[in-house]
Amino acid sequence: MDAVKSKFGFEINQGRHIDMDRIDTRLADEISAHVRSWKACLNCGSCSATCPGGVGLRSLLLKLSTLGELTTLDTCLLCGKCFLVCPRGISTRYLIIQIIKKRREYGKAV
Amino acid sequence: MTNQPDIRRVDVRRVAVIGAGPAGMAAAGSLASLGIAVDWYEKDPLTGGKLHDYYQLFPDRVRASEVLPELESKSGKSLITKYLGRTISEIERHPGGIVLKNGSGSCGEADAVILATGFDFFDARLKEEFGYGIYKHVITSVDLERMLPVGKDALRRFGKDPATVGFVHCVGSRDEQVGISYCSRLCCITGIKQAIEVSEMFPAAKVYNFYIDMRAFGQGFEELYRKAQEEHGIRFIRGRVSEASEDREFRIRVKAEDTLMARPLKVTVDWLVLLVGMTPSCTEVTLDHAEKQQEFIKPENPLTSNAVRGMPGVFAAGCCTGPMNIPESVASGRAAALQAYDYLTRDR
Repeated sequence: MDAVKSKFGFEINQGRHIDMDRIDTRLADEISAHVRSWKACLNCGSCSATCPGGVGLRSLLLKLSTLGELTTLDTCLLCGKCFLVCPRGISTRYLIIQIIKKRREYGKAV
Repeated sequence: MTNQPDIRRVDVRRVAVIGAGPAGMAAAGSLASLGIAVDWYEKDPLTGGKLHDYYQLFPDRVRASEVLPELESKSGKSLITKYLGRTISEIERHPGGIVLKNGSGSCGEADAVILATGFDFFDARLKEEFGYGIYKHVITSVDLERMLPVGKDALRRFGKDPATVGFVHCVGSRDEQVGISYCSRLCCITGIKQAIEVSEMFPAAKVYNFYIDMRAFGQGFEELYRKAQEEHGIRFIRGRVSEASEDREFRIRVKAEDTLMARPLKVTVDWLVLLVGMTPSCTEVTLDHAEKQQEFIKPENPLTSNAVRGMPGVFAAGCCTGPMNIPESVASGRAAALQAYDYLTRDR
């Protein structure tokens, strides 16, 4: 399909819509079954603000739960500062480990 | 005369309480306990007000029907005279007291008056973009409250359990488009409670709550919010629904922005529940020929008093002064009763 489009010298923009009817959130569902406290996230951003590795954990987790997509975690030091600051006491460090494990299961590097 | 004990002669004085919701019930009961005679006016044929419209009350999910008898006056019942199905449209101050009127006719007198006329639910049809009154499966939180006690069948569609249910927060609250600038405060927790009730009824259903801010202010409210997320998996999406439309299967297509993701979003739901706000009651009593108010009554000093400005002897209680939950309404009714008592017993 892409090859056909490129022949015409243009591409069709993908819609930016999140289509909740079609999103596959199984990955997120499997992980949140292990770490139930994740569901209580308030999106306050404390985790991202405190991260010495510069991981935007809030937005990473939000993308994972909303779209089932996972962006890179490779600068995470597993230091656990995000867990120390979370106002809802979400086990973020354990959550990150679960995400890494799942990704390995799915055969993708994190 | 001089040998008489110092008893203030309050027994001949009468207080009119207008409205028999939680605030009016608390006010009438408190006055009777204080030994004051009460004329109690209610436009509906029974006392209890909007408690009759509710199924379970937040945050502890106590049945509304269990709360009603608790609010009934235990003492001094003989001092209360009920006038049910009687509307008071105007009150007028005269040198001898206060005259209660319905239209042009006088229908009673009192030495002091407690207004506990309550509120109306926002008319969701005014927010046409949500399709209330147009699409069958767009309902309000008030409709849902009546459907919940009926059980699963009330929410099944064409014999099937609903797969997705959406809740829209702030319908008729914080919305200059419908001339309402204030927050109704109680819709957030109602949305949380009803989302839990729906998800308990249909555990497989996905439940989405669309909100601007979550304002879980009361005792136990934040805990219920967390429970909704963690135990029931209810998804709270920050973003106001822009519009709803119906598809060929009579499901409701919802458009919103997920403002945390900063991306537009669409989702199809089997039911869309509009969490309607509270508006000043249209049956509100007009004070001294004033223009019929479409505002909540502002007490003289909202921090410390229930007295209505410029109307000595008139006190306002409960939701006619602004959105309140049941414990607040009850406290407000009791406070107004005590102030009316003080007014009657102090030297004037």
